[in-house]
Amino acid sequence: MTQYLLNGLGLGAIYAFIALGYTMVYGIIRLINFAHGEFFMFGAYLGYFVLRDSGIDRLDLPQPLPIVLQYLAAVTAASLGAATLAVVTERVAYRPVRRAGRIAALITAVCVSLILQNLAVKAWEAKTRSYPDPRLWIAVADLGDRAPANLWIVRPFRTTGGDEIEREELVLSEGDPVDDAARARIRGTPDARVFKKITPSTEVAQGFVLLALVLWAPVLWFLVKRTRTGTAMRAVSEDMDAARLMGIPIDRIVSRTFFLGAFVAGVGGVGYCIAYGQVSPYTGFLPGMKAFIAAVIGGIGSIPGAIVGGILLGVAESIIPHLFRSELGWRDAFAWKDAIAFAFLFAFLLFRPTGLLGRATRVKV
Amino acid sequence: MSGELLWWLNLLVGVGIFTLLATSLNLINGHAGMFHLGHHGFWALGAYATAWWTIRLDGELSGPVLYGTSLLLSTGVAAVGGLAVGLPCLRLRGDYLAIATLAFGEVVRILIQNSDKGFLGGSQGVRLPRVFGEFEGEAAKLEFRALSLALVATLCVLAIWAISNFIRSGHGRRLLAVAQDETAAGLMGIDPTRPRVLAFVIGAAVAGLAGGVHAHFEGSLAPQEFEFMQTVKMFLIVVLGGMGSLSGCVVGAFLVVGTERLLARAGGAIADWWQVIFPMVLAIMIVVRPQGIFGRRELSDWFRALRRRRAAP
Amino acid sequence: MSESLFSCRELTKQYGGLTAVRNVGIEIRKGELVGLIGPNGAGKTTCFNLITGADEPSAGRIRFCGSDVTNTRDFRMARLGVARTFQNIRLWREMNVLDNVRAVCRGSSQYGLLAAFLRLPRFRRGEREATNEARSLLKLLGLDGKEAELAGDLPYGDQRRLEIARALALRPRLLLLDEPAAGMNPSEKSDLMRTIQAIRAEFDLTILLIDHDMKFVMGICERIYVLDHGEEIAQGSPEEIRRNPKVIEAYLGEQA
Repeated sequence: MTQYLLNGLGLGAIYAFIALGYTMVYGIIRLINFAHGEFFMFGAYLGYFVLRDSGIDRLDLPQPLPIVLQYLAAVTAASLGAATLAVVTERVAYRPVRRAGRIAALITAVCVSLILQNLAVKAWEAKTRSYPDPRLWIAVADLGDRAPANLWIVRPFRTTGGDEIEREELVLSEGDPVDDAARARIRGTPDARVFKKITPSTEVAQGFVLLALVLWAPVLWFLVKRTRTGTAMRAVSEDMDAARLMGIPIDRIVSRTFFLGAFVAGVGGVGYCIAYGQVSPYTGFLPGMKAFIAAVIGGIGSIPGAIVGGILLGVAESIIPHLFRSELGWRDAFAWKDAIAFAFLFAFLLFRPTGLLGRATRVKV
Repeated sequence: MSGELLWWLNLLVGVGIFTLLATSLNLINGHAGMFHLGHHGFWALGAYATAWWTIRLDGELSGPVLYGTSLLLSTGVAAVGGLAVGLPCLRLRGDYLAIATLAFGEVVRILIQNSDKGFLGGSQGVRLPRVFGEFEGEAAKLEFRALSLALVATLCVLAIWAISNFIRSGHGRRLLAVAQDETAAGLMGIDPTRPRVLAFVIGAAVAGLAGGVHAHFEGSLAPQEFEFMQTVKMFLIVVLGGMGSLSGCVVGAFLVVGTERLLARAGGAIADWWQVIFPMVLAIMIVVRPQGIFGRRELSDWFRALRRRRAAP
Repeated sequence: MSESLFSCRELTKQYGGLTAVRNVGIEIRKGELVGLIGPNGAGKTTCFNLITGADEPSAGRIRFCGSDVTNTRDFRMARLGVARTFQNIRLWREMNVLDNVRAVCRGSSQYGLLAAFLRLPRFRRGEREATNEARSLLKLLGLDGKEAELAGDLPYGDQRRLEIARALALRPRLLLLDEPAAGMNPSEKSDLMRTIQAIRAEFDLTILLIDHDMKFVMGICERIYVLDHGEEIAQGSPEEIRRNPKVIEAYLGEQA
C-alpha cells in the first residue's frame, strides 16, 4: 500500500508540473490551452535526443557525474524547448485571436494542438520511441576479474545506405571472466571503454520529479508573489483592462506566463517519459488531459490548486485501482485507471466547478 | 470505370453521413450556442448500438426490419446519451462545458475500447453482418452503394427539413433567445433549461442515426475511429458553412469530406500533410471569417438577395 | 377603490459588504402609473431585479396579486405577469424584429415538438396566433414596417420600442420600464409618453417606471417614489416630490 502511495505521489508530482502550465495560462487569459500537452511533448523529444545523441555520458568524469549531467541536460533542454515553443505559439497563434472571443480562441487552441501533433508525426514518425537507458562507462583498468553485469562496447558501423551509425555489441555477459582477449577487443574500440546499461526505475524517476516539485514550489511562490513579473501576472489575471491602464505591458506578461508554464510542464513531461520509458507524438494527449483535469480539480487559475489537484489525482490513480483489486477482487481494475480522472472531472464539474481552491465569478444583469 | 463510380458513391455516402453529423452539431453549437466538443461520442453510441443489435438479432428478423429497428435503436440510445450529457451540463458554461463534453466523447471511446470482446468487440473492433445478404461481384457492390446513398440522402433531407422546421418554430425561437441572452429570456418567461436539453437530445439523436447508417455501410467498426479528430472535422464543416446555417453544413460537408478523400486518393506530399492543413484552415477561418460562407443565412436567403440585386441595379 | 396589485416591504439586498437597497417599501394599485427615481446608484435597477426575480432579496417580502412571491425567480415571475424592459437593452440581436416578439407570444408555445417537426395543423394555428399578436403589437409601437430586420440593426429608439412590444407579448399585469426614454430627443419622448398612456389604456396595465428625465417622469406618473443610496427618502405625487427638500438635496448633492 505504501508503495502505491509513493507511486501516486510521484505521478502526482508529474501531473502537478504539467497542471501548473494550464492553470497559469487560464488564469491570465482565460484560455484552455489545448496545445499545452504538445509543448511538453516537444520538450520530451528534445530530452530524448539529448539522452540519445549528446554523448555527455561519455565525459571522463568520476561516475555517476556524467549520467547526472546528462539527465540534467535532458531536463533543461526539455524545459527550455517546451517554453520556447510555447512563447512562439502564443505570439503566432494566440495573440491575434485574443480579441476574437472565447470560442474562437478555444478552437484555435484545439487546432494548434492538432497541428503540432501532426507536425511531430511528420518529423519523428508516429511510432513510440523508447527512452535510451543511461550508460555507465567503465574504464578497462577498473574492471575486476569478472564482469559485474552485462557489458557493452560501441563500434562505428556503416549501413548499406552509407550512413555512419554506432552499434552496440555485448562483449561480456554478467559473470564472465575478464580475459585478455576481451580487454583487447575493448581497447580496439574508439572509446576504449565498456558500459553497463542502467534502466531507471519508474519509482526512482518519479521520486526525482517529486523532489523537483518540492524544490520548485517555493521558487514558484517567490516568483509569483515577490517579483514584479509575478505581481504583474496576478494583476492581469484579476483584471486585464485595469492592468493595461496601469501601464502593465500585457503582451510581455502573457508571453512570460506561457514561458514559465511550459517550462515547468517540460520538467513534468520529460519526467513522465523517463519514468515510463517512452515518447511518441501522442504523449501529450492523455497525460495532458489528466493534468488539465487536475488543474480543474484544484481550481483552474490557482497555482497552489494545480499542485494540490495534481497530487490528488496522481495518488487517486495509484491507490484506487489497487484498492479495487485487492479489496474487491477486481483483477482488471488497472485497465480502467484512466476513467478515474474523468470520474473526478465529472464529479467536480457537477458539484464544484470552481475546484478545491478556485474562486467563483458572478454574472451581472 | 465502375471502380470510379464506386469511389464516387462511397464519397457521397460519406458526405451524407457527415452532413447529418454537422447539422446536428450545428444545432447544439451554432443555434443553441453551447460549446460541445464530444459529438463523436453520440456518433459512437449510435454506431455501436446498431452493431450490437444487428449482431444479436441477425437471422431472427428480416433484412429491412432489422435495418430499420437498428436505426431506431441507434437514434434512441444516442438521444438518451444526449439527455445524460445535457442535463448535468446545464449549469456549465463556455470552457467548462467544452471540457465536460470533450471528456464525454473520450470516455465513450475508452469504455468501448475496454469493453468485453464478446460484447462490443473491444479495441479490435466489431464486424456487422450484412443485413441484406452478402454482396458478391461488382454489380452487387454498386447496387449496395447506390441504395445506401439513396437512403442517406433521404435521411439527410428529412433531418434537415425537420431541424429547419424546429428552428423556425416557437421551440427554435426560444432556443435562439436563450442562446443569445439567457437572462433576458428568463425574464421574458422562457425556462432556459428546456430548450437547451432539447437541443442536446435532438442533436445527439441525429448523430446516433448517422452512426447507425455508418455502421451498416462500413460493415465494421473500431473504437479508434470515434476520436476527437472527427468532431474537429465536423467543426470545420460547420464553421466553413457558417454556424447557424443548414445549407452551409451541406456545402461544408462536400468541401471537407470531398477534399479529404480526393487528397487521400491523389496521394503524394499534400495528402500526407492533410492532418496539418485542415486544422490550420479551421483556425484561420475562425479568425478571418468566423461566419463561414453563409453566416446565419441559408441558401434561399442568398438566392433572394441575388435576385434583389439583379432587379435593382 | 382599487386593490393593491403589487407591494414590497422592507426590501433589502446586500452584495457582500455593500447594501444596494435597504428597507424599501413600494405599493402599487391596479392601473396606476408609478415612477421610481433617484440619483445614480440609488438602487433603482436593483429593485427591478428583485421584483422580477432576477435576484434574490436578502430581506423583505414581495407580494403580487395577493400571493407572496419573494422567492419566485425569473421565468416564473414573468409567467405570473411581470414583464420588464432593460436599461441596457437586451434584445435578441441576431433574431429579427418579428421573432423577438413572437418568441414571447403565447401562441408559440401552444404546440409540441412533433407538431413543430412535421408542421402539423396545431403548429400552423399556434404560429398564426403568435404572428398576429406580434404584428399588432409591433403596429402599436410603430414598428410594423420593420418585421424582417435584425433587432441588432435597428436604430436606438426603435430598439427601445421593440423591447416594450416584446414585454407586452407576455400579456403582463405589471410592466416595469427601465429608462425607456434614455437617449431620446424631446419629440421622441413626448411620443413615448403618448405611447405609454395608450398601451396602459389598451391593455389595462399597471406600470412602474424608472427614468432620469424629471420632466418625463413628472409628466406621466401619478405617484413617485424616490430612492437615494438604497433607501426610500420620499413618496408622493409629482408636486409633492418637486417641493420635497430631501429630494432636492439628494439631487443637488449629486450635482455638487
